[in-house]
Amino acid sequence: MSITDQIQKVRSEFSSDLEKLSSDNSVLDKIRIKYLGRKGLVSALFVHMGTVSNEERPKMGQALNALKKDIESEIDAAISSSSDSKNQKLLDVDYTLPGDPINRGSIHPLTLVMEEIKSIFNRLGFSIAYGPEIDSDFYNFEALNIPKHHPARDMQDTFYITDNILLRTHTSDTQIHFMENNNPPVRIIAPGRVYRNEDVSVRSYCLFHQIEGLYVDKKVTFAELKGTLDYFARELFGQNVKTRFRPSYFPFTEPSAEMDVSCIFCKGGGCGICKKTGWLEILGCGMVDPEVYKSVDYDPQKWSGFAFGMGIERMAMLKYGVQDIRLFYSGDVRFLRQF
Amino acid sequence: MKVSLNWLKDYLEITESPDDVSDRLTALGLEASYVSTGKTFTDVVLGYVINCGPHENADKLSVCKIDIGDGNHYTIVCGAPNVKADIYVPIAKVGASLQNGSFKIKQAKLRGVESSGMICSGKELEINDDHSGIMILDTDAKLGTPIEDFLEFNDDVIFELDLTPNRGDCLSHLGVARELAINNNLSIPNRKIDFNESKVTNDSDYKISIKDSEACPRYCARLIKGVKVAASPDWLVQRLKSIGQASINNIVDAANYVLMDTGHPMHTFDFDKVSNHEINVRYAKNGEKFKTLDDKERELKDFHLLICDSEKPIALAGIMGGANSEITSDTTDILIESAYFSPTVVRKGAKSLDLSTEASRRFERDTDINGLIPALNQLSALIVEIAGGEIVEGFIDEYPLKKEPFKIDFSLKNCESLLGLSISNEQIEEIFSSLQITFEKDTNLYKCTIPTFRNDLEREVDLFEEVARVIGYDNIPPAHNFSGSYSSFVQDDQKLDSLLRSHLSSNSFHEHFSNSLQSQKDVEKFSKAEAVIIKNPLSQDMEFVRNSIIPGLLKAADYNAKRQEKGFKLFEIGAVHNQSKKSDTGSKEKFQLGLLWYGKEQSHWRTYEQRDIFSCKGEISNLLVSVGIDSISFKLGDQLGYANAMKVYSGKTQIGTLGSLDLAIIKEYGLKISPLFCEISLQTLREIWINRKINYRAPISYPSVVRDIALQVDNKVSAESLLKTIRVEGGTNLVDIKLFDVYQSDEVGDNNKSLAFSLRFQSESGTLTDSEVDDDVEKVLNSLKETHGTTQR
Repeated sequence: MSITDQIQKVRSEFSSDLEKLSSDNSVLDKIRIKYLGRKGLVSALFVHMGTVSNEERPKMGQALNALKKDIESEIDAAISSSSDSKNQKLLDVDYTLPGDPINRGSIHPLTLVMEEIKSIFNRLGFSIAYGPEIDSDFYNFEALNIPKHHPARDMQDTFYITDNILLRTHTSDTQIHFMENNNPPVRIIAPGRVYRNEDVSVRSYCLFHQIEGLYVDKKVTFAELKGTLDYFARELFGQNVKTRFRPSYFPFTEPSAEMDVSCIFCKGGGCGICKKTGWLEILGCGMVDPEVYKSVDYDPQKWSGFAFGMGIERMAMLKYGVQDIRLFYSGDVRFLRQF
Repeated sequence: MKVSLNWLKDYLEITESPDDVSDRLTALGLEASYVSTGKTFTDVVLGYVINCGPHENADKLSVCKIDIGDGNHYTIVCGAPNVKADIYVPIAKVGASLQNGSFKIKQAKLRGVESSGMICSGKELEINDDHSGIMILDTDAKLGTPIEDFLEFNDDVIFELDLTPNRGDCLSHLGVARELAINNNLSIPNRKIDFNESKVTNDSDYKISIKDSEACPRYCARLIKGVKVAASPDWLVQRLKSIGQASINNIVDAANYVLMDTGHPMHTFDFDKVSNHEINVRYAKNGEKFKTLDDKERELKDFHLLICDSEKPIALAGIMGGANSEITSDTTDILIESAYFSPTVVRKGAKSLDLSTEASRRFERDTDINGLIPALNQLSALIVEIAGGEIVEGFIDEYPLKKEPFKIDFSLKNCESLLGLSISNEQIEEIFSSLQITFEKDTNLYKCTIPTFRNDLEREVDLFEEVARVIGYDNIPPAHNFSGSYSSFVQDDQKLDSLLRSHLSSNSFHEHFSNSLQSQKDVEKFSKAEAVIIKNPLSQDMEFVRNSIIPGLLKAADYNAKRQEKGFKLFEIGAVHNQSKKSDTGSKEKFQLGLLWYGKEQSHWRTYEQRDIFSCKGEISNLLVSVGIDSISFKLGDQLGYANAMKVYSGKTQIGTLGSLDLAIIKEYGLKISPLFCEISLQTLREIWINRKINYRAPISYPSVVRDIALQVDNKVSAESLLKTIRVEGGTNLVDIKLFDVYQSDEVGDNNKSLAFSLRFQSESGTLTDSEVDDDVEKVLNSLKETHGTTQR
């Protein structure tokens, strides 16, 4: 077959390919490769140039170049007329069809609250520390000035592994672990899971989460404890909440206090959630008891400080209006999706 | 602890409202709430139903004509089923208030009929719980008489105190009265006892001997002869009832009354049943048996303290009396015990018997050793008053171990610097005297003597708290500056967790928190490591601390599947534990990340998400790379509880397992569809993460060249091995490899597959020529052929 015939053959094959195709750019790309690619039909013809006579060569060259140019321009024309390259009007399609589903997951409400509290104390320069969930009686009780056979043990029903090893009942154990391994000054918060041997109900569960705080430095005062925790409460619940402190009892703090915030639901007027008192109990706190310093070899004459602890579940229940504590551990995606 | 306002008024003149009293107690650290008992309404009078007919617009309502004796007839609409003509009823007049003001009765139009007042039920008047109908009264009182004039109401306010364990002194009306007197310019409360010893001399000798003075430092007793055991007088029944105590008989009630009044627990013995009239205080022998007055036989240990007569135990000291010496209707002579027992001994004893009584609660929290005799005298006087008999002259006071009041040196300067508040000497002295603390001033110190009812005040710091408490925590101004040193910083190795959470939650995973207390079944399925066992579990399904993150997620999957959720993804980050002899706590704590894929996402008009092991592989790689962990690979392996498992690696370190779980196990958890599961060791991941590095390279400015290669190869050859060869042989210019097609058909033969790779070449030193790239590709193809027997298609 002569080159001219071959050129003609390629031309007609190209025309029929072009007619068959849908207006799809990827198909056009394939056609471009088939004809104009490095190993394409047109390139193959150029290779044949070597076999033609010197006289014919310029003519052939012209013809081939014309073929290449025609194919190029026709492909370009096809591309520009294809749907992808037009300003398609949304009116032409049903734009009410739903968009692609990108499903969102969720971070657990307890994590959300924990992170929020952590970030407030991070701003105040508190670092994060952790304690073990299975701990000894010493760290959970003895070192915190709660001797065996002390009625304060009744405040926390405990799961025991052995007589001396238990599931920690509060994150206060972390105070001791941390102070044992670090010299003062100390400024930490310690989030974590704690356990209580209590029947499961709407208001209580056999485990929950706490955040403990500990600040030990020179000349720390009760007034600073109040200022710090008041700031925290306003950061968490809003600038307008009020706090009140009332005397309480924890063996590892003295003086001990309970901090309430003005009810965030009724603004202090009295409602069902605050049991008509206008106040919500938020956290326990106090000045670190000298006995605690003794058990970690800190000099109580030199250092003073405060500690506090709060339940995350309670905060989350208040913040989101969750009535049943068990929902937090159900894994119910209808619940989780809302956070 | 329940406290009656009327009772408190025996000690103090209280004019404040219950709200104010309750607030003041709370501010002092005795968290209080209250309920009003007695009459809670105003303007409710006796009325007579003259006639009663149906309401024309409502089936369930009646329209009544009422006479309340003032010459007018009132129309009242009533919804009660038992309303009828010719009955006497309580009428709340217009303007009446019910339930302490929660309801006000107004003139109203009910379904078109004017109603002037309300006929009340027992519940509406808070007289009883009956709300089935209105109260029908049987009385000959005049119409219009306020109903409180012929029905009895015991007006009182009952405070419920939530006491902290250090305040045993407030487990009594006297104790609470002392607190209320603080800062209130009230005289210090004390009960006056009208007490007369008879001239009856002690003809029936009784003896007391204490074997262990640490356990029982003091024991006092009195004898009363000729009492008559009977019902208690009304006032006593009423007082006890108001704080929720049932009446038994006059002797028991009297002891109970003085207990609730002074806080001191005493015990009454039937004197005739005390053999040889001897009291011995001693420890029990191991295994000794004793029947307490609740008729339970209890086996004792050598730390249980007993009150015995010459032959047998007659009471568990400080906890409960014995059945063998209890007061009965035949009792005439009574021996009253007023003793001080060691708090630790009582607590240990009560705890081991799981027996907590009004007495043991108080002894555990420590009692007033100087309160024994006043309480003894008060009880003796009361018994004689209500049960007759005569107090035998004299009493016994065995006091082998004298307890001195606490002495504390108090420095005002130290107090000020702890509280962050300046306090004057006058203020401090006033505070001390309101707490009945006596003191001597010694240059910079107050040498204080603490009253014996305040056993919780042992150290200087305890007094600092008392000072703050009396001043009022709310009167200490908060500091508005935060002054801390910057030398306290700790690395947070769990920061990675937040990154994982944030990535997973944006990729449609929901975070789950599961119960980490699990059943035997749960801890046997997925880990060979022995789980930690709880000695006193809540129930059998919570006997173990979890050793794997999987069961909690499976239970959540089951929970959701049963609630018509067809497709979801869950994750949990948490600690798992197993036994370990090496550690002090006999256990090892590890953190795990668990991922669970269940079912399919909802189908959609454009896309249909395919979920299989490959989509999960992709998600895990994406998760890990996004938090900065690379060189991820997967290798087949075995794992307990899995039907198919792949180990996940970062470089050479194994970080987790991905796969599908054993179908038999899936069924046990109630699931019909097998979820895919991945568990990752957070400990390992955190270590890699802490050391992660970003190796930055400048983007190459020369163009790249792409070559596609299609290979036919035996089915057994893994894609990973081909990729590895390509990567190694492709040379430094090979910057990217993509596997873009995997294909099996008759064309390639039963034992073969076809894989297509796209190779991108690029050089930092210049534009690559065709022949340079051709050489690289050729090298790759040759090596693939040699090593894996591929043919090019």
